[in-house]
Order: sequence, then C-alpha cells, then structure tokens
Amino acid sequence: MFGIGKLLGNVAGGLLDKIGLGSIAPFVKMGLNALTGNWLGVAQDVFGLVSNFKGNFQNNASQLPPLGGFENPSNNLAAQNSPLSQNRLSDMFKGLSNLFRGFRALSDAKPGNDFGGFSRIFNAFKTLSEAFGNNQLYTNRLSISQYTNIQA
Amino acid sequence: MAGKTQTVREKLNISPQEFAEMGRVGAMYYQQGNFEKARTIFEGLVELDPESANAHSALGGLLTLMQEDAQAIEHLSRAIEINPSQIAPFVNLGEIYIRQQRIEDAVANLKKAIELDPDEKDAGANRARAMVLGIYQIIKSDENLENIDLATEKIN
Repeated sequence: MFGIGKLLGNVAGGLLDKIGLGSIAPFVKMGLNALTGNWLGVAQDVFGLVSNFKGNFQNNASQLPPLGGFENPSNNLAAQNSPLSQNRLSDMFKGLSNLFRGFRALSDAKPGNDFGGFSRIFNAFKTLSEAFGNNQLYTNRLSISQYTNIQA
Repeated sequence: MAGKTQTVREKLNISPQEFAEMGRVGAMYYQQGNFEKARTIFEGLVELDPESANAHSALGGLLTLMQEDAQAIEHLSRAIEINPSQIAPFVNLGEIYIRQQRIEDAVANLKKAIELDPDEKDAGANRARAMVLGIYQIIKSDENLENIDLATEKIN
C-alpha cells in the first residue's frame, strides 16, 4: 500500500493541469491508495512506459478528450470540396421522413416502439443544416483550427 | 441465412465521405466548445450507422468530457470492438477509470493507446502519456517504491 500522505500531488497536478486534467490528480492518489491487487505490476507498467517516452509529447497533447477519426487532420477537406451541401441535406431529410413514415405505419399497433432513434437523426440533420446554412461558420472552419490537434 | 441488416445510413444512400463530413462538423462544434450541438450530431451519427467506430468513439469522447461515464464507457467499448486500432477510445477509457479510481484498468488502457502511437505523433496518445507521467510522478514520490528496481534513467 502506498503512503498517500507523502505523495506530492502538486507535481502531478501541474502536469495534468496542462492537459486540462488537474482535477483528476486526487483520484490518482485515491486510486493508488485503494489498490489492493497487482499494485507492483501497475507501478512497473507505469515506470516501463515512462522510461520509453521520447520527451517531446507534452507540446502536442490533446487538451480535450480525443474524438478519434472525425478529427483526424488527414480527413480534412476544404469547405469548397465538401461532399455535403444544403441540397444534399434536404434530400436526406426527405429520405428520412419517408423512412419514418414507413416505419411508423408498420409499428402503429405496437405503441411500445421507440422512435427516439429517428428523433436523434432528425435533430442531427437539423443541426448540420444550420451549420451549412451558416456559410461563415462553415467556410472559416479550417482557419480556427477545429480540425487540428490542439497544441498544449 | 439472414443477411446483414441495413443501417439507416445505407438506406438513405449516405456515402462514407458524406458521413465523415458530418462527423467533422460535429468535431468542429466540439473544438469550438459547443458541446450540445456536437452531441446532437454524434448521437445522430450513431443512430445512422451503429457500426461506425468513429461515431461511437466521438460520442464516447464527448461523454467523457461531460463525465457521463457509464454511457461513455458503453460507446468507447463498442468503438474498440468495431475497430481495436483506434487510439482515442483507449485514452478516454483511461481517463474515466482514473476518475473512478480504477488505476489498474486505467493504466492498461493508457498503455494500449501509447503502444498504438510509437512515434509520439498522435495528440490523443500524447494525452495518455501525460496521464501516465502524472501517475508516475505520484508513485515516484512515494518512499515505499524507492527500492523497486525500475528502469527510469531516461526521464530522470
């Protein structure tokens, strides 16, 4: 068991602050304190990982939880090359409406059916349409580094 | 034998490129701090294509930020099931498990994220490295571990 009272939380807190995670430092301490099983294995894993760090990563660490593929810079498209448009979204709205009508007709006799999925898609399309309708927002999207990794 | 069920995305003839573009708009809102709109889009994308690892990963990432941990774990785990080579879900599971004081699970997930990015180029994996370094510093400050023979010369 670790002597938590001796832990220098502010050291780790400073590092974690840099990536917006300063608030989790106390949880690390409490979690380590609560470790009753393979704590040595955990410590060895941590020390092994750290010993292989090259040292440059802190300047390129995401400040928010990463999203994955959608924010991958290699997926970037300039706004003018976007595969989507207001007209295309209108078509999708119509298609979804037709799909919904068909689904509802089939499930009218089953009031327990959940239409929440359709509702979530409609809401997403509405939000996307707003984004595409806001030409300034959409055209400028690359210039405000939404799609690039945040420099810590 | 029954065929694969068509997703709503397929029924609406939405191409993978169009779908990815929708995701990028969600990511744009997320980076701008407009989490409500980002969430609306990511939730819709998961409904459109429940087999999209990117959609589950994005929604899971946002839910990690919102600290809606149970739902986040569900989507992050699904993202990993669909595509185990994605880094982001492992990073975010690591963060959640730290918050839940499940350090062993946290380290296991952070380790996977780091191993998927050996060149330290991925910002998400680097976030994982920062978390590991934070854990390291806390462990290192404990005198009970002083005698453990661990190779740490490079960072000292």
